[in-house]
Amino acid sequence: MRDWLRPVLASAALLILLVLGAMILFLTYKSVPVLSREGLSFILDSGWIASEGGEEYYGIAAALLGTLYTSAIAVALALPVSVSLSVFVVEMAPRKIRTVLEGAILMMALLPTVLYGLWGLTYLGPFLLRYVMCPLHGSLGWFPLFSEEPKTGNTILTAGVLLAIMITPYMTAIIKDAYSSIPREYREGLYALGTTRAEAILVLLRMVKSSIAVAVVLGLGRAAGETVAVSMVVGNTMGISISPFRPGYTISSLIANQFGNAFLYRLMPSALYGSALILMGISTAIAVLGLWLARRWSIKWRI
Amino acid sequence: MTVLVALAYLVHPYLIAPSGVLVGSGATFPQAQLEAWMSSFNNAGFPFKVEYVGKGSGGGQSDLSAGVVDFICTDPPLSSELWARLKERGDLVEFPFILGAVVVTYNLPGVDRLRLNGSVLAGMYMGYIRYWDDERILALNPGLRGVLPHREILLVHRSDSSGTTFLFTSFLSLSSEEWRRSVGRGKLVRWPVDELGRGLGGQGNLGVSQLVMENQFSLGYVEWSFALQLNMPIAELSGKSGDFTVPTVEGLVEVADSALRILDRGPEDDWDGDVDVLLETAFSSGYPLVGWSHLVFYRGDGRILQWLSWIREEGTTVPGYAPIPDWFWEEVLE
Amino acid sequence: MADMRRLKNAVFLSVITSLALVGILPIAHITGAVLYNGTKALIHAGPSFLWRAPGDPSTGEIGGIGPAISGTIALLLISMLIGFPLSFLAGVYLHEFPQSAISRILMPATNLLLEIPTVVTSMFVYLVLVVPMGRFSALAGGVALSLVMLPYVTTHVREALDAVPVDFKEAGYALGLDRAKVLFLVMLRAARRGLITALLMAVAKSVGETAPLLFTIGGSGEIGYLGLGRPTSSVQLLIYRFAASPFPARQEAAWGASLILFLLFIGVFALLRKAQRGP
Repeated sequence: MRDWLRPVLASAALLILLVLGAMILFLTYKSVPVLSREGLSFILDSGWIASEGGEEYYGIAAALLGTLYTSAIAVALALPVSVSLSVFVVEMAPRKIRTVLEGAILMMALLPTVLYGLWGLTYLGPFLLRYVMCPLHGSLGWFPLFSEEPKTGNTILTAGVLLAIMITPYMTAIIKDAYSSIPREYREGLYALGTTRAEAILVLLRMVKSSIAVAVVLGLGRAAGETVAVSMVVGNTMGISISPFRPGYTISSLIANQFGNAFLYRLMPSALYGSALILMGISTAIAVLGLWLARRWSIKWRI
Repeated sequence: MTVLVALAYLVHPYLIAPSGVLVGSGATFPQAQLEAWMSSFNNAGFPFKVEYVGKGSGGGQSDLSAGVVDFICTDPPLSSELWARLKERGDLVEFPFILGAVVVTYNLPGVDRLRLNGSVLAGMYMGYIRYWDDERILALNPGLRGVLPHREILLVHRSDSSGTTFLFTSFLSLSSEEWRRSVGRGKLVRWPVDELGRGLGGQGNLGVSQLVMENQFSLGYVEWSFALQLNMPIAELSGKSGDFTVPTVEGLVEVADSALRILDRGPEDDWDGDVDVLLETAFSSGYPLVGWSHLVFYRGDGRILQWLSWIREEGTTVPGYAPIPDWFWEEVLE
Repeated sequence: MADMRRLKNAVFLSVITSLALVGILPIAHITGAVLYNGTKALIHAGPSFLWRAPGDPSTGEIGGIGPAISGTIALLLISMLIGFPLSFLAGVYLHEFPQSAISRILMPATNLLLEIPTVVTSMFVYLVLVVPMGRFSALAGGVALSLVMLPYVTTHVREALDAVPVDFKEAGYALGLDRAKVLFLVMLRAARRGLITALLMAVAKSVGETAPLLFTIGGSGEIGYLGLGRPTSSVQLLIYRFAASPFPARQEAAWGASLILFLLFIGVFALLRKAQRGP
């Protein structure tokens, strides 16, 4: 009688575990055909050859690289911004502005992703084409990264910048929590030593570098999984190149584009479930790494 | 309390007279036409509404295979293999129900007349015709020398599995041996320009139209009606005869009429291969990129027939499409 | 020397400030763009934007997004009715039995669930619900959304309960109450604020996500909520589809729809901020 509650609670908990288990099993099971047929070349080769009845071949290297490329751009841009934002909010902003900024950061984290996509398509892409890609190509065209003549706003770069905007609030949340929880005494001690504000901030940032590492890792994971906003701006073409001015694909946008017609083909559903498995593998590996680091350094944050 | 209101909201469709939905999906080729028909039909007081999600012919066939819709539209017919497989599940019917054309559209400020043919288009999508002022383009458009800019061509194509792509790549295969060998035709092909960074993929005819409109110096292929409705320029194409033309309603009907007579098939038949007949007829007579879309569904749902009769009697044809010849409709509706 | 240090200090601080501004700029611009374009579209379309179906784009008529709104409300309710109780109970379990075998797996599992790309959730639900039911459906969409909110709610509920001082619980037991009574009479009341946060977080996720709906609900904007087992439309998916349309009327409808979605989101967000910051 006393503990009727426990089974109820436990069954809810178990149900969640079951669903998660089922998801992993399903994905794995559905990926077997493509993985057993193509093996490693599924991720090392590029090509999306669909055919009804004929020979099908799927290699997701281009999309996989696109995912890594866009995520890397995103983190590289978001890192200095989130560090600065954290320092500014904690250290420099007056109380009122701090509250507003904290609200804005939370709002960025929760804003419906499709709004980011619509905005990226309408404003960010054309803006980057006109004010970033064209000038860079014009003045630094000899540099391999900028040698491609920019032709459209739907590119790897646009997707990367949009992702940077989307993961900034997550990374900021982690860094800011760590930064603001440094005991007062340290700060006062530093000033007592006669440091300038900049020097003090640099020392304090060095104290939270583990949190910054965790933020980078988790930001990377977020960026890799984002679908809707990215597929609206990435250009959706299969090609491997180091030029960020080219249209490209990411795994998630490949799924968004192809899953709707997959069941027409024999092997394509499997190829897409396989892509999903790999995407999930990447996110999970990154997340596990991040969480492991977080636990090791006992870092806590919210959202 | 809140929960009760929530439950009430979720239950309410079951309480008020349940209006059914006839759900379809598939090709975006006939989408503009279907949307116009749906818009009037859904307000005409029938006990059910029609809903159509344009996601590409491949998407429609995929949905039909998964069994998640009532009808689909697809530009190339089901393959014989798929037809046989799905026919086992019930009384499947298939027939072309609307004519259209694939047009090549482009975004070149100041150029309102452009002539192209299959082999030049193949060269563009293969990537070796790289700039707008390429000699091979100028050869077809001597008047545009000095007008066509020395800019790279951005080639827009479909990113989903599409009947429009099937028609377009079939035309390229008919016109260029090299294209036929290295790329071939299909609803989803490997675009050589993508690997060169000069391709751009869009979802549906809508997505392709948008990308062409938004990107200067781009070129793409869409169903005729999209170009008409959006005031996009239409390139003149040539077939076997070498005469450059744009599509006309009379031309489409004529081509479809002779193709249907050659094919001599009915709704119960497997239509695999009909696009070849249609395209070859068009290729040798006038505007080369004529297409049609098929309606596929399982007989037994009276609502579809009710909707079809309404289309036959009251549905008007939107600009950019042409009606299937009358005698064929009569055969079908029997 | 001292001047050099002062200069460095000034440069550093201004770099920090400008980067922080850069970080905040996009959200300001997005908000502005949504409000401006959305209001323009709404004025153009008139109030019937809220209940009409989308117009025929070739005539330039915007029409409305009524069906999509009705679908979004239904999806929100379905996902809350399924997802919230489930994750609430799981969160309570994690709080009450943190050392049990299930908890030890569930704790990292929720973190894992949090990292699963939402498009993968959509593919999963397509396979286990849409194909067996033979229909895209509001139910499938609701289930996909509830899977997405699960980890957020579970974590927030657990944290809210963990934050209640242990004295409360001990006082409850000292009065001879059993676990359930302590939980419902003491703990939930004490943790009220955190639980409201969890609830609002669930709502924010439910209206914020689009990818879970990609392969589950099926609707294009013409049909609203017509029952659990039928396809439906949603505002998020409508924006995604209409944004890729070349028709000005469709693009305007997409902006109008984003204003509606934004206002809904801001409402939830304001409540969430209030709950987080206290009275």
